[in-house]
Amino acid sequence: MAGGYTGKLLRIDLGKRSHSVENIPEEIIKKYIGGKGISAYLLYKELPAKCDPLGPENILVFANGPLTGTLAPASSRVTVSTKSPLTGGWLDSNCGGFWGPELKYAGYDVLVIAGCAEKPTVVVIEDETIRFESAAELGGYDCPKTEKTLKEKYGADHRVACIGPAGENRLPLAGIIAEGRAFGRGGSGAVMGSKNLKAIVVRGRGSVEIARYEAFLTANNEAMNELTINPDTGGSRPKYGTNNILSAMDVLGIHPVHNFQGIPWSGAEKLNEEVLADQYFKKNKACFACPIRCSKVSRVDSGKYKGSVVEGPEYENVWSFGAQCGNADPGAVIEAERLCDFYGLDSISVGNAVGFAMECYERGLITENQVGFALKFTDDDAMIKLVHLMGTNEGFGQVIGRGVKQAAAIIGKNAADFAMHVKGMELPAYDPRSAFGMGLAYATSDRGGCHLRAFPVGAEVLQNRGRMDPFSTEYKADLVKSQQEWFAIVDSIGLCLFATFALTPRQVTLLLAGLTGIEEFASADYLITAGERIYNLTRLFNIREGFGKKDDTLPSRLLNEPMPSGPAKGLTVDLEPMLKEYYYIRGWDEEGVPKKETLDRLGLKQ
Amino acid sequence: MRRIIVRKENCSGCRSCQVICSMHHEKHVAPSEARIRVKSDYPWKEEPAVCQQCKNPACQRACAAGAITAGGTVPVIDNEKCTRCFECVKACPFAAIWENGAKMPLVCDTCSGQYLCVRWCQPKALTLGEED
Repeated sequence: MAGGYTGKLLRIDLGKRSHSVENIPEEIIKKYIGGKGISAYLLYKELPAKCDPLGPENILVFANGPLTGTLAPASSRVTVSTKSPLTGGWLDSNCGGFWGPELKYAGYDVLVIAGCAEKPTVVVIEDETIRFESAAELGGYDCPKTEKTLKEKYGADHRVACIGPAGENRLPLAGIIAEGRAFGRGGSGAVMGSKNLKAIVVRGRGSVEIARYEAFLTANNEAMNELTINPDTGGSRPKYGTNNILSAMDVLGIHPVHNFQGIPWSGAEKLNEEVLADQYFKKNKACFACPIRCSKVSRVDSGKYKGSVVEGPEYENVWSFGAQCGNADPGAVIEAERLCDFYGLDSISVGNAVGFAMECYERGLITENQVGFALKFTDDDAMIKLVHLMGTNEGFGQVIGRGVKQAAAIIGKNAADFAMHVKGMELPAYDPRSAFGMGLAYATSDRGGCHLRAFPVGAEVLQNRGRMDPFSTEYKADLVKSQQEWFAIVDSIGLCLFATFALTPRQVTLLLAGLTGIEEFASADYLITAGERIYNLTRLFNIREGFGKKDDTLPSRLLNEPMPSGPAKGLTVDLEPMLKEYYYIRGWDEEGVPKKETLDRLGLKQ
Repeated sequence: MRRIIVRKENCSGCRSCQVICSMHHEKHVAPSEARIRVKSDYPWKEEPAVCQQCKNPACQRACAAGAITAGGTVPVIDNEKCTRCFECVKACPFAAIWENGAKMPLVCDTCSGQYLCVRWCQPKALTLGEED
């Protein structure tokens, strides 16, 4: 087997309480690389079309990349892929921390979880020993308590990925939590809950082999240098965490306010990177082998949220529990993010959904009677209460915890006009009216409203220096397509996306070729084509589930309501011309279906 | 004497030290074969443990076979004499010696003076110094 890979797939059938180990063929590794790519191959092959995401046919695929668990900087990532209960389509969600590397040391590149356990179960993986243990005593436990209990039982060296009450209640906004890090988006926690699987405990004592030791070490030296001298990964990110961009996003009009209503907002000065770093960050924390250490442990030292501790807060949550809900108290942001980790919730979607509910309330679409309390923008008490209700699946939490798309359908009237999602997944912290490329990125993201399938905001404004017009549709199709290809590779090799802010394909190919010894991986062209293959395969998955051009769109607010303030004042996203060009350069037909010649070129079959 | 100074308050818990240590000695990545290890208590505590080059080393005193030569340096363990009793592991006040199956106990050997863990420690939790 090539270096970096264990070459093994562990398949667990929860219904039969059995497991088997399969060899992963080298041709599959060369074609789909690992992580997201190999998961797309497995899900497209094994999942019956139109299956119930919360039924026994759905599978969870956890997959490492070749770099996961090695010296390569920020090589902590492991991907979970499944059919999403939030969108009904493709979902891959990756997580940092230490769980993925531990799975690899236990001997597995890929873990497939199939079937449903009869009773709540914990799967324990200790190298080649697989055990199914009762989770009866853990029922209803929050994530930190679950982790603590399992670590006390099995050992402090064991790594835990678990669900909280939200996952047990099969809430579509539930994620899987792995010791302060999360497989957050798209409802993988609900799928785990539907399988009666409370936690996966892993301990590995094995090793990862290196094909060309000296070449790999040299590549790591170069990569480390690039990360250290880069102003983001070696400067602002270690200092401010992911919130390093907040001030810029605010000034550029990208930071969405009050559920994307675009009104002026003064909260940035209370929530910006300087404030958090000065008053709240107590400790730097890193994922496996990561020199960036963007994670911060924060604690609130005064006010009504005194004592609240979280690993974060991340930029996305400073937005979702900040500007999105009109809250400018960092304490409330920290408490809300802590609650998401506590209950096992997707903190982006949850904050988005609270803001959506607040707008519905202010427009009279829902009443105090329905919610149980007044739900006005800027009311942080109401925000926290609603997060609790989602976590415990009680009262109005049962409606809003289904995500804004499904909640809008339940609320009725014109609530759907204010539901800020794409394909059912809640949008994150970027208003595309201030950066048009981001609109195309949202519309064509394979898992729905997401900033991690392409991040044009980077090229459009952050590192722009006047080379690209954020308010133009020109070049955006190319930008989005090429980023989707590259990000698909990053999500397949086990590297954190943040590392690629500094690392170019040069360093990535050197790392991969040195580690694996696979000649083809030395070619950036080869990898980018593999990325294109993976992105077309997730497209085929979505088409099989009934998605098409009608779903490659944006919430009507972004297409029809001109931005009322800021640099993009008066603008809406001109999506159609970008989408048309995007389909054309992708080799997809006018309905967004990959043409036969495109699939042939990529070695795919529908 | 030059040795590794540990500042645990700087440690981010990333374990690059364990990775490079296992790579240098075993030519593959295996944190469970490292001669430096980080113990974590989430979310506040990270504690790297590595040989502190004691002047009056407990490991040497604990070794009934007389296999350990130490004292102001990292311990040198004689493979012929070592009986794999792992009394040194229990004796080390820094918990910086580890069992390794049927093989010799694992302890820092400074990578022949290269101190690679120090070189790969970005947050500077590990530095080289002359402190006692």
